[in-house]
Amino acid sequence: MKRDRRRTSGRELLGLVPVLLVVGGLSIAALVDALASSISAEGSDAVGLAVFRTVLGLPGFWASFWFSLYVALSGTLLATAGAVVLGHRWCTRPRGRRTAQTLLHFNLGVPHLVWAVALVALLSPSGWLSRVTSLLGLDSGIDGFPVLVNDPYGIGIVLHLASKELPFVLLATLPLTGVATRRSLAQGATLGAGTASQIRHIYLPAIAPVLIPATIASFAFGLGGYEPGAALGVQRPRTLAVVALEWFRSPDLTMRHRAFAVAVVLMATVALASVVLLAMTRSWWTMRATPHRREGVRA
Amino acid sequence: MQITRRTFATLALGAFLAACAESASSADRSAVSSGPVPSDWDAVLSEARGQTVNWYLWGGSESINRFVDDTYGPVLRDRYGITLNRVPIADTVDAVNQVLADDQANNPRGAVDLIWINGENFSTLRDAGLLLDGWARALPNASLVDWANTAVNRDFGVEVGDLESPWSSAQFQLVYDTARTNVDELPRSYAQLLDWACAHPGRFTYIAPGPGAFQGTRFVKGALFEISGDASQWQQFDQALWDRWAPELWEYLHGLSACAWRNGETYPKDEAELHRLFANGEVDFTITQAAVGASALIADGLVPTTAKAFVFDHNSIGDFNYVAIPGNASNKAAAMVLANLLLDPSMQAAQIVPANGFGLGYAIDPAQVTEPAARRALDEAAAALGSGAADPSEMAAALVGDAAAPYQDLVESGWRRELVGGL
Repeated sequence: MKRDRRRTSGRELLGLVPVLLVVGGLSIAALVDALASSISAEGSDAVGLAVFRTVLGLPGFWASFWFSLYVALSGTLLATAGAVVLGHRWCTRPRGRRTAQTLLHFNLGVPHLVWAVALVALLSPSGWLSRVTSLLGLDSGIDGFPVLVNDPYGIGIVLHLASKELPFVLLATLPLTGVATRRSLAQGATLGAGTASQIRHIYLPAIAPVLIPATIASFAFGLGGYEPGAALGVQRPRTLAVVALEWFRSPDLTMRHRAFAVAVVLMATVALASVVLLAMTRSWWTMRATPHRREGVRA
Repeated sequence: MQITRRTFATLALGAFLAACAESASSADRSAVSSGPVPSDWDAVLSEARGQTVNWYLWGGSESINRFVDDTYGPVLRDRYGITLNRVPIADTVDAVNQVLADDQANNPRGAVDLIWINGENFSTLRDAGLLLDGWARALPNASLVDWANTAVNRDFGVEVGDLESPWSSAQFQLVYDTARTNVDELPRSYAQLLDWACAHPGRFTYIAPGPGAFQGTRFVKGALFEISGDASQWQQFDQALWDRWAPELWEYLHGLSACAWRNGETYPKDEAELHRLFANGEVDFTITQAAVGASALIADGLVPTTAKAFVFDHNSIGDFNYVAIPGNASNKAAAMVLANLLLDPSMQAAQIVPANGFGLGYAIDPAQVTEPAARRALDEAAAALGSGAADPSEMAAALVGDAAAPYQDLVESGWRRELVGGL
C-alpha cells in the first residue's frame, strides 16, 4: 500500500498553509457561525433544537427537501456518468478530443447564473429552440412546446447541473488519464474486455482519487447552489437553497435562524452522501493501491 | 537589533489597535447620530465638499443605474465637489443589514451614507433607532414637497417624520400590447380580470409576492382592497380586519390561478421574468410602477413598441419612495446635498423623461414650484411621457395609498401558504 504513496515533505505542507488558512479558515468560520445560529432559539439566547423542529415541521419542507435532493442527485449522476463515458472514449479513441476540450473549457468559464439564463432563453416555450421548431413547422408554437425550464419536474435544473458539472468532472479527471491508464486500457482490450468492463475494472479505479471528490463537489453545488433553482425552478416546490437565501435576507431577523438551520440540513446531507459514496467506492481505492491482487480484493 | 525593532513595531501596532478599539467603543451613540444641521445650508455645502457619498440603492435595473450615474454624478462633482459612489444592491434589505452590522460592530463610521428606501426596510431601521433624524424637512428643496399629503408623510402607514426625504413616486399599472389586445376589451377591475383570464386561459399571470417582488404583493393587495370594498381601512393595521377578508382574497386568487399561465402551478419570480413572458407573447399583461408606464420599458427594448400601460378604475396602489441617512453615516453632509439635489425641479423633470430610463414620478408638488424656468421644465417633461404611458387622469382617479406595513408580510407569507402550499 505504501509503495504508491509518495511522502509529502514538510516544505510542501508549509506551502499549503496560506491556502488552508484562507479557504479552511473561512469555511470553518462559516460552518461554526451557521451551526451556532441554527441552535440558538428564535428571539432568545437559549441553545436548543427548537429552530430545527420548527423548520422541519413547516408545511412543504420535505417536499422542498426531496425535490432538492432529487435534482442534485440526478444532475450529479448524469454529469459523472457522462464525464466517465466521454473520458474513457477520449483514452481509447482520441479523435476530436482537442476541439471538444476547448468547448468544455469555454463552458467551465461561464458563470452558473449566465448558463441558467441562457438555458431559459434557449428552452422556454417562447425561446429560441421553440421559435426554430415553429419555423420548421414542427409544433404549434408556445402551447405545443414542452415545458423544459421552470417546470415542476425540475428538468431545467437537472439539465443545467448535468451540462455545467460534466465539463468540471471530466476536466478534473483528465490528468489521471495519462499514458499508464491508456496502456492499461489497451491491455484490457487485448485481453478481450469490452467497453463496460474496461470502464468498470480499469478506468474508474484509475480516476477514482479525483472522480470521487469531483462528484462530491458537484453534488454539494447541486444541493446548495442558489442560481439553478432560482432561474430554472418553479414556485412549488422551491429548492432549499432558494428558500434559505430568501430567509437569510428577510428584514425579519428571526428568519435568519431558520435560514441557517436549512443550511445545516444541506451540509449534513452532503456529508452523509459523501460518506455513503466513499463507502460504496471503497473497492476502487483498494484496487488502485494493489493492482496485482485485484481479483482477490473484490471477492 | 532586528528583533528589538520588530518587537517594538509589534508593540506599537498593538497599542495603536487597542487605542482604536477604545475610542470606537467609548464613542457615544447620540454623538454618533448627530450630523450637520441643514438649516445652516452653507455650512453643509462646505462640509460636503471633498466627501464621497456612498449611496446604497437597488441595482436591478441597468437603466436606473445609468440614470443615477449620468444625471446626479456630474452635478455633484462639478457643482458641489462631491464624489458619487453608487453601491448597487440586489435588495434594499442588504443595505439594512449593512447598517445593522455596522451598528453591531459599534462602528461609528458606517459604510452607508444614503439608502433608497421605503416600507418594511424603513420601519426596521426606524424602530431600531438607526436613522438620522431632523434633516429631511429642513432641506432647501423640501419646501417643494407636499408634506401634508398622507401618501408623502406616511410610508406604508408609518410616520415618515423627519427621517426620510422623498425621491420619486410610483403607481401600480398593468401593461398590454395594443397590437394584440383591443382597448375596449381590457379588464377594469379585479372581478373583470377574473372573467378575462378565464376567457383567455393561460394568458394572464402575476409576479409571485415576496421579497424583491413587491409588485406582485401590490397586485394582491389591490385585489384585497377591491374585495373588501374600501381601500382606506387598510391604512391602519388591524389583525381582525385581515382575518375577516383574507379567506375571500385567497378564494379569488385560487379562481384566478385556475385560469392563469401554467394553471397557476408556478408564477414569475420577478418583474424581469414577467416582462420576458409578455414580450415573448406567452402572456398578455405585464406590470409596471413607472410614471411613464411602458415607455421606459419600450426605450429599453424590454417590451414591444406597441405596449401601453393602463389602470383599473379603482384601487391602483401608489406611493412615494425615499432616501434616508443612517445615524452612523460617515458623510452625512454629502448625503444631505444629494437628497436635496434629488428634489431639484430640473432633476425631477429629468427623472420622468422616458429616454432617461428612470421613469418614476415626481416627489415634489409641481404646483409649489414658482420659478418660471423650473416650472416650464416640469410641464414639458409631463407632456412628453411617451406612447406607453397610461392616461394621467385615469391614474389619478384610481390612485389609493398602500396598506400599513404589517400587511406586507401577511400577504406574502399567506400567499405562499395558500396559493403554492410550500416553503
